[in-house]
Amino acid sequence: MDRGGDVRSPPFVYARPESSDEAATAARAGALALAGGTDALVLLRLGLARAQGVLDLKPLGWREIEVKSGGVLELGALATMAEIASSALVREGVQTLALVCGRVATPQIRNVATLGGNLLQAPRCPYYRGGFACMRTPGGAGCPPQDQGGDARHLGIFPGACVAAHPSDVAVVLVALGAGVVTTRRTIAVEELHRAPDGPADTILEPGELVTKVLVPMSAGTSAYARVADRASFAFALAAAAVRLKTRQGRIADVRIALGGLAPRPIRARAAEDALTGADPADRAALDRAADAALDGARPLPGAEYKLQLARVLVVRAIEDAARSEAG
Amino acid sequence: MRIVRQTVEFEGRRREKLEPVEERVGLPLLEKTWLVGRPSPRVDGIPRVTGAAAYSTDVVLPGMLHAAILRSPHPHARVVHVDSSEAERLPGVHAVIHSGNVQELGPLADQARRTLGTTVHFVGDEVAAVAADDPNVAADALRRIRVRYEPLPFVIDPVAALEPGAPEVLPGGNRSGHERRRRGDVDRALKKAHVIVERSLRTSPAVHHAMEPHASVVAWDGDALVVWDSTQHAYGVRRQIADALRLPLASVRVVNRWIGGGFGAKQGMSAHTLIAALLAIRSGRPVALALGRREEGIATGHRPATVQRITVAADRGGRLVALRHRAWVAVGAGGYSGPVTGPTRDLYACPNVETEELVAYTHAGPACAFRGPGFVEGTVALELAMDELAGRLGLDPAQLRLLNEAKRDPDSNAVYARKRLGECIETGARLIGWKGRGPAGSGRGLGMALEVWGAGGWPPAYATCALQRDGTFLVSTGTQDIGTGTTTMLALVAAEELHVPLSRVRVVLGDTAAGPYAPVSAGSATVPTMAPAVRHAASECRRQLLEVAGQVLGLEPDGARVTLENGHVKAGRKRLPLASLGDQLGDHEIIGRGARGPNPQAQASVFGAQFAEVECDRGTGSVHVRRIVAVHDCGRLIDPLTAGAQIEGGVIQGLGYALLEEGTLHAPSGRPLAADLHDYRIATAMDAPEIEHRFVGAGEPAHGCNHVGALGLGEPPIIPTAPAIANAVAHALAIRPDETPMTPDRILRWIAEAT
Repeated sequence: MDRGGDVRSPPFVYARPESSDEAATAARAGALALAGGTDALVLLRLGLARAQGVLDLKPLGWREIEVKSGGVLELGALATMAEIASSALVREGVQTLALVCGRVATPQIRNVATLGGNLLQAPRCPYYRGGFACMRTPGGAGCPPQDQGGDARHLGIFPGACVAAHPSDVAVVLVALGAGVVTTRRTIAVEELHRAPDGPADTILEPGELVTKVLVPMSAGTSAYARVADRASFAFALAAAAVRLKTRQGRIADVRIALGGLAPRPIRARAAEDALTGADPADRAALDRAADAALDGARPLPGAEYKLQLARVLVVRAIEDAARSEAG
Repeated sequence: MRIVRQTVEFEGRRREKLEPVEERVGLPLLEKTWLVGRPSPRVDGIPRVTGAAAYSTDVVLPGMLHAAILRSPHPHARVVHVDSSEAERLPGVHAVIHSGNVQELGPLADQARRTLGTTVHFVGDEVAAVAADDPNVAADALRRIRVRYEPLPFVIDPVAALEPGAPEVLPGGNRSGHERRRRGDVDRALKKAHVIVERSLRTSPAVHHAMEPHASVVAWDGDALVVWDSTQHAYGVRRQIADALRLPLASVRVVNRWIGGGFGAKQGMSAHTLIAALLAIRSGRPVALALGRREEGIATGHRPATVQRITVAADRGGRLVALRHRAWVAVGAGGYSGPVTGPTRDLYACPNVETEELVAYTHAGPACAFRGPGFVEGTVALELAMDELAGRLGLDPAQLRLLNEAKRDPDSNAVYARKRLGECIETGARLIGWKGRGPAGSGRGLGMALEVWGAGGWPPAYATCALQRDGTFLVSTGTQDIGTGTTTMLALVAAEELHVPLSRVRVVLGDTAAGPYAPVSAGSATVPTMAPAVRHAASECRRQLLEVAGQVLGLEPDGARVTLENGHVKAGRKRLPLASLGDQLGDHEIIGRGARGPNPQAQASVFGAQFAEVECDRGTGSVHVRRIVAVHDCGRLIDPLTAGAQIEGGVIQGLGYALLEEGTLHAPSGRPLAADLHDYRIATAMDAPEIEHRFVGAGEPAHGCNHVGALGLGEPPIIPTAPAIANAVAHALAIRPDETPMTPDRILRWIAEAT
């Protein structure tokens, strides 16, 4: 059937804003924010992001790494993974963050991928990216592995409308470190940035709201990150655990634990933290109890049960690593 | 010409063939060499790594259009209606073809219907294609084609596909092949066996993902057609294109000068090449059609999934008394499978062997040859079972394998051209430190596996070698260099024979207009096929040259006592540089023509042993392959650097097959779950282990195969890698793997099963 008329697609616009106000306005109007472009451009190509143009944030700067008063490390949202990994300030202040940024994806990607982009990347779920329609794809609904069954080995294990595994290692570490994000509107805890999705969005950011920097407290204590992936590089974690802890007289005085690869957002494992407080980090039974507490409520789909064990092992190892670095 | 009957082996299958033989191909065996066998960097390495090499998609022609293919989202459906009117009206679109308008192609409509049919058989099957001014317009046009499908029931599991009442993939049933082979009496032997091991194995589909995706550029040159194609067989594509378009063979030229890998997925004319040609006819313009990575992942072939059961049995002393191997293979819609049970018939001496292969069509992309087809899948099952057998007998796995070495081909009783597998095993065992292997379950594991593969090549193949007036030589042949170093190796062989420095020989290949017929670059056949043809051409060129030189120097007219040495013709004290001879001849050419002679009676199998050292994490199921020692024998080496590169590539690809690669479909929908390189995990540089390789008898020619004494090495290196790693993982964790790839989820399951 011939509908007549001009069938050409509208032109695609590339915009370079001069101020954050201008950027926010353009973003509110539906332009897709472009930082490193390692995910945004892929999403456009796959049809998972729909926009009539991109808004290149790079002219705005936002890439300084500085230590602020009060022991806060401030990282511009457009700092690249490579810049963070090689920054002396980060390596000295929060070594775990530098190490994790230095292991993201591949050297080529680390040279362009940004901190903000890493936190806000879309799910790496094989269904979402593989051309299946789901609640997170434009115009889609449901969750194919939950509705139809099928391979769930790379998915999360906590129940929800979406069972994708959030891909960011950096976000997991930042949650454990108690970091915050500064946006064009407000400051929020990284822990609060992501939410359980009931539609395409998995953050609480409003339309046009842009992340400008990340604040990381360099408080006393040590941190560690443990992850497992099925390839030595360029693979997202099947499961991961980040821990920051402080001990006092051989006992865990303060601990934060975050889990990755298990849910559509990084998980703060508060029950595990409670279970650990006051425990001897050398007490393996206490660590096991904490790991169990961290996974309370997990209900893996068939095939993903192994992630329970992975996560338990990683939680214990991350606590042990953090405690070891503190002792050392 | 005379005709001989001979045995030819291709991708693990042997057949008898009549071959016409050119006279004078019976050169003496090349014994001592001065150049062949010395490490020689690739003669074309620099353009390959600087980007100067023009691969198919680098070809840009005036007025060239870019094509794209609309593919089925359904595993099985009837294409009820295609509405392409909006796409056709998009400015910049020059042609749209699909099942609803192919009749406009007139006499070619039937050909077009084979590709763009009214039934789609897998997710990714071709439905429509467009040619437009640029790739973005073409992609835009695809989105404007509206297709109405009537989805039909589908089946993707090979066992289910063969059950009564399964949805039919192609008319005529889902049984693509059913091959049963037996020697001796397995049932009787099992009754008397001392130890019987039974194993099952499920292997996943693996996708080639050559660095260069499939691509073709098709253009008319008057009434002749020129096709730039990323293919492993220029002459094969020429024949298939000419057949499909009803053109005289001589009116089709195929150029495949630079190829970024094939691994078996580029052995013949692909659907997209025919589509590009039809669009070129429809639009009257040159058309480029390059597939994207996702298309590579779903529609250009893969190593088929298998379900296998194997029984191995031995007597008290460890001698094999029975082998039984059954494999179900899912080959997709009209695909191909290599002989999965081949290694069970060929690798060990065993009097009683039964093999059965049930090959099923399924609603998936067609499977095709993939480096060592069948043998890669089958050797995993066989070698896992052999290790378990060794454990049950209380024998060392290396010792068990040495004990059961076949002195002649166990299936045909043919004599081997050369077999030094025992030396491969002993060398590898020494290098990996096999003696300190220790007990199973320590977290660190050592494992080994063997390999057998037919790699003798075959006729026909031709080459010419022409003396140029400046004293250099031009070797021309219709073979191709798919990335393996063929250009370098053939130049070495010609320079060896002509006794000139390598820089004085130029090899032109990858163009049917530039060189005579050569077969597909597959089946580990290129060196054993082409090296003798090129040596013959060079030798013929030399013979004529010496004849002429003798007369120029005022000596015997037959060239006796005139020799060719280091770029000079020499007779007694007289010496004449080749350039002076060329000068005197002017534009008169001296052209030698060479042909590949017939295969002799010996069984040209190649063998190897690989050893893996792994570290496994019992808590997480992670595997780190620390080291692979690979010891192979493929006769004389032409270039040890290229041979080493084949080992390294094969081992890394084999590691991916063992641990990472899984081209799975989503069972409920038939859609691919790992179409791109994010979800389909090939090994990265960080996964590559330390690889140590050795070649047994590298400097000595293999006797009884061809006069260069070289056999093939393209496929052998990948065959034993996955089973060696599997045995190492089994040893490290004291587990029984029954599935590949061995991902953490599966390893944790096996650990749980073992405790």
